[in-house]
Parts: sequence; structure tokens; C-alpha cells
Amino acid sequence: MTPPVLRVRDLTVNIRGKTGSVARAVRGVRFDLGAGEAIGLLGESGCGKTSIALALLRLHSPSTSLVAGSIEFQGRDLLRLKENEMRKVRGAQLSMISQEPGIALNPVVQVGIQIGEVIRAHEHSTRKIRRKKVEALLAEVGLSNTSRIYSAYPHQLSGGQKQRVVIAQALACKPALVVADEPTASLDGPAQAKILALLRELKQRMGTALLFITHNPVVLLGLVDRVLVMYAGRIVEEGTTEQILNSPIHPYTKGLLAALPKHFGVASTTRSKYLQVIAGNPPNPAQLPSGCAFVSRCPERQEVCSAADPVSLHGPDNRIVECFVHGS
Amino acid sequence: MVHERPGRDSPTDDLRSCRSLAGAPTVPLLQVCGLSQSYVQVHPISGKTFSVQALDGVDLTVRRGSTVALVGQSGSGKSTLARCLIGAEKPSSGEILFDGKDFLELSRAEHASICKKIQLIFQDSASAFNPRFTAAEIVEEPLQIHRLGCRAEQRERGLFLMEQVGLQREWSEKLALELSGGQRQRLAIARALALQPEVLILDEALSGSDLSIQAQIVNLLVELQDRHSLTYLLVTHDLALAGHLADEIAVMCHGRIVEQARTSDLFTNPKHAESRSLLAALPVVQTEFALLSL
Repeated sequence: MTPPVLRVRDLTVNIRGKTGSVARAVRGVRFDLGAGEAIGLLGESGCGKTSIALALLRLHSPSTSLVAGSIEFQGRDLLRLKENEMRKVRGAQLSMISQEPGIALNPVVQVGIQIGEVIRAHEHSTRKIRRKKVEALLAEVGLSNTSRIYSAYPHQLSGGQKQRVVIAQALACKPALVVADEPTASLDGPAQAKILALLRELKQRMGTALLFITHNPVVLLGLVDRVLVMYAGRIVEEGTTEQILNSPIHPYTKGLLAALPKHFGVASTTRSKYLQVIAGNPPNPAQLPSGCAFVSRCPERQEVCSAADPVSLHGPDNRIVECFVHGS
Repeated sequence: MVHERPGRDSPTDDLRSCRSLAGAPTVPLLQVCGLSQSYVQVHPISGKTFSVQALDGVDLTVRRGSTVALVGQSGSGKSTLARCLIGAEKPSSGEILFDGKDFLELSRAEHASICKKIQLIFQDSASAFNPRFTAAEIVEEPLQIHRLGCRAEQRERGLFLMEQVGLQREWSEKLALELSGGQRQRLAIARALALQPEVLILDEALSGSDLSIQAQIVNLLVELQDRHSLTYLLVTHDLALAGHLADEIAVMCHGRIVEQARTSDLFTNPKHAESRSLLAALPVVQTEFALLSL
């Protein structure tokens, strides 16, 4: 078996707030990502998904955030690289697709030039060659009329087109790993389906490893091989996409899937319009309760749950299930 | 029921059919006929003016106590229609009948009283509140604007409304930004309920929130509808959610409603190409749904 592209161990991220409180955004996360593998990171807002993405690219501000643990990428620990070495990795071997393409792109620079900037930062090339490469990339992400798109400004493109440009930018240097942070959150249904199909196709064609961050489990299907479910800064359950979506074990994952509207399209009565809910709100990362962070919302809680942390527990098939009731 | 777009040459026929419904026992609560809205825009460089047809002859019927979802891609005119319905914009032509009365031709006083009956809940609840107001002040503001009750009554009603949507009394002195996303959405619903409306327009009010919070808000809306016999117009691009909540779905495309049908009919037998393309974007969810039916 080939060694993993990415090996994350004991990653913690603490972020200092304005009032001096410390938010424990990520609390000891470990996972591996094989070459060409796609995994999904599923969780609600504030659970630490984006903090992991920023930690991988080392984009946390050192003045407010403390990142500890190790992130081994292609055999090197990213957290121990000097900033100038990190800049050679970032964008070239490791890149990110951000949530809001409208914000990620510079509004006063033609999008083709912006994609070319990535290539210029990492490879020696002439302007002519770059233009050729960029137009090929634009075609690769499914945009037609590439010379028009090349010289368009972001405001002249639709949301879906902008997202494709950002994907082209992320793929410009053929990275080994792409981190996609909710790339479809700001798009409507048809545009979202198209972008997901594009990512699926690119993943197969280019053999890039993908870390796909989302709060919506339905977009993971058919796209990722494994899913990590995050809650309050920890990975509470891990399994193949089929396992997580078909037979979730952790009470949080079960609750999340049960909350999906699924009786759509059938004539419904008032009663059937009620959804199953997870009561309460996610905990504040600056004031986590003792024991399991899910305890106050958990329908299956027992006494032990608020007494100790359910750390490194495993369920059937040796899946990570950080729950005292279902893991051991 | 498929709504064909009325011929432009015969708007009067269309209006007559609309009026003939008024006064009948089964009069729909909200009826929109041939509503058009265009904006004039000036090109930033050439200075030429051109008009953008945001709504192009919209027909929509909303029965009392039902939930109608308005779905469509971004830019199809959903939000413009919602803004016309609450009177935030004056459409260039067409009519809106609320309970059989023409909404657009009322006197100021009548208009104000009807405005109370139609309330809008915005997508981004964080920017829909005055950041300097406490939760209680936010809920009481509509009562103050419409001069309903004395100060103490307003306060009491405000607290009652907060309790109805599941917000604790102790939170009434918090600022809106101190509340979590789900709590803010509850507060927005409490404010919309303050004037005892009959129609709530939810402009993407459920999208953008997390699934567990979205499910809580869905349940709250269903419960409130049950208790107060509210009518909902759900503006959304999430077809799964629309299919779950709505009795009828109206599909919007390029400023027109191209199909309005019962939810089950639309899902099983979509007639218009736009409905089919919206449904085609859903297979991810449908496969998921099959997978989820454990």
C-alpha cells in the first residue's frame, strides 16, 4: 500500500477571541488521506471544519491562533516548514477551493490573469505559454468560449462560472491534494449539481486527492470514498460513505440524517411534515461541557457520558465511533 | 393545474377572470394576476439605459391555510415577487388581490391594515435586525409602529411571542448578534407574528442554516401553521425542502410562473422543461433518499 498523501495527527487549533476567551476549534483530530482518495468532512457550522482546512494550508493568523500536532504532507510536517517553504507547497501541491468564489476572486483583475498568477508563482513560463495553459484549464473545468472567459472580470460571470474559475485556479499546478470548503454552498440546485459532477469527473481524470468539507450529507454521495463526521472539534464518527449514510452509529450522525427532509414529493398531512430534530444547539467552542460534547443533545446519553471524554473508541469493523454507548 | 402565460394582447380578459373570483366563497387568500415589474438600468460606461424585465406577467394563486413554494433558479424573479407582495415595491403592471381586494389600489390606511396581514421573513436574519436593539425591542417594534396597546401590553405581548417560538424570557435583553443562528431565525419569526398576520412569506428563510437547526425551524413553522392557520409562501431554491413542506409548488423561470401544481403531481409528472430541469438536479438527493430509507 502506498503511504498516505496526508497524515494528520493530534491536530488542535485554539483561537483567542476578542474578550480573551479561547475557542477550542479543533481538539485532537487524526486522519489519513491516500493518494487520489476523496474524503468528506461533514459537520455543522462552528464544529471546526474550516479550521482544519485553514490549518492544512497554514492560513491561521499566528497572532490569534495556536495550531499544534502534526500535518504530514508528502512526508514533510507542514507545521514545521518555514514560511518560504510553505509558500512553495501552497497552491502548487496543496490548494483550496473556497466557499464564496465571489470573494475569492479579485474583482478588478481578469480571471484568466488570476489563474495565470498561480502558475507564475510556481513555474518558470512565458506569458504566451501561461495563456495557453490557462485556456486549457478553463476548457478542462467545462467552460466553453475560453478566450472570452479568460479576459472576463468576475462580475461578468455567473455564480457557477466563477466557481469553475476558482476550481481551475486550484488545479492550475496539478496539486496532490485539493481542499474544497463548501464549494457549492452559494449555488442554486442545477448549478450545484453541475459543479458536483465536475468535481467527480476531475477527481477521476486527474487523480488528485480531495478533502471535501460540507454541512450537507447528500452532496457526499458518489463523490467521496470515506466520510469523517465532526462535532465540536472532534471526529466523532468515521466510515465509508455507504456506512455513514446507510448505517450511522453515532447518535449525532443518526440525528443529522434523520433531520433531512425525505418525504418530499408525496401528498403530506400536517403530522408527516414534522421532521425529527436534534434538540438544542451546538456547544460554544469556548465553553465546552465536560465529558462528551454532544451529551446535552443526545437521546441515548448515560451517566458515564458527562463524566469522561469518549476518546479513541471504536465501533464495529474498527470504525471510529466516539461514543460510550456504541463504541468500546 | 398548469398556468399558461396569458396572452399579452388580452390582459383585460385575464383581469376579468381574476375579479370574477373575488367575493366567491372559495376566494383564494392571495391572487396575483399578470404582475410585471421592470427595472431601468444605466450601463456604467456607455450611459445607455436598458430595462430588465424582472417579472413578466406572473399569475399565482395561494389558498388560505396552504403552503405554496415558489422555486426557481437564482435570478428567476422569486425575490422581486416577494417584495411586490409585501408592498416594498410597486409593480409596473398587473394586480395583487388579497382576500379579494386589490392590494395596489387601496388608500393609505387600508394599505397599512393589509400590510399587517402579510409579513416577510428574510434569508439572512443577522442583517435583518437593528444590531443595537435587544431581542425584546425587535419583537415589540412592529407593535409600536402600528400603535397597538400601551407600553406594558407591548412588552407582555413581546415576551409571549418569544415564548411561542421557543425563546426563553431571560434572553429578551440580549442583542440579536449575541444569539445563535437558529435563535435569530426564531426571533425573526416572532417579529413576523407580532401583528397576527395571515400570510408569511419566507424568502429563503430556511436555507443557509445547518440541518439540525433547519429541522427545528421547519417543525416550528408547521406547528405555528397548525395553531394559527397561517398561509405560507415559501421562496426557495431547495426543491427537497419545498417538496417536504409545500402543498403546491410554483416553478418560476425568467420572471414567469411556468407551472403551478400540487407537490405530488409536480414530482411525479412535471410538465414544463424548467420543472424537469430542477428535478433533474435533485437525483443526488433522491438516490440518497433511497439509501436513507433504512
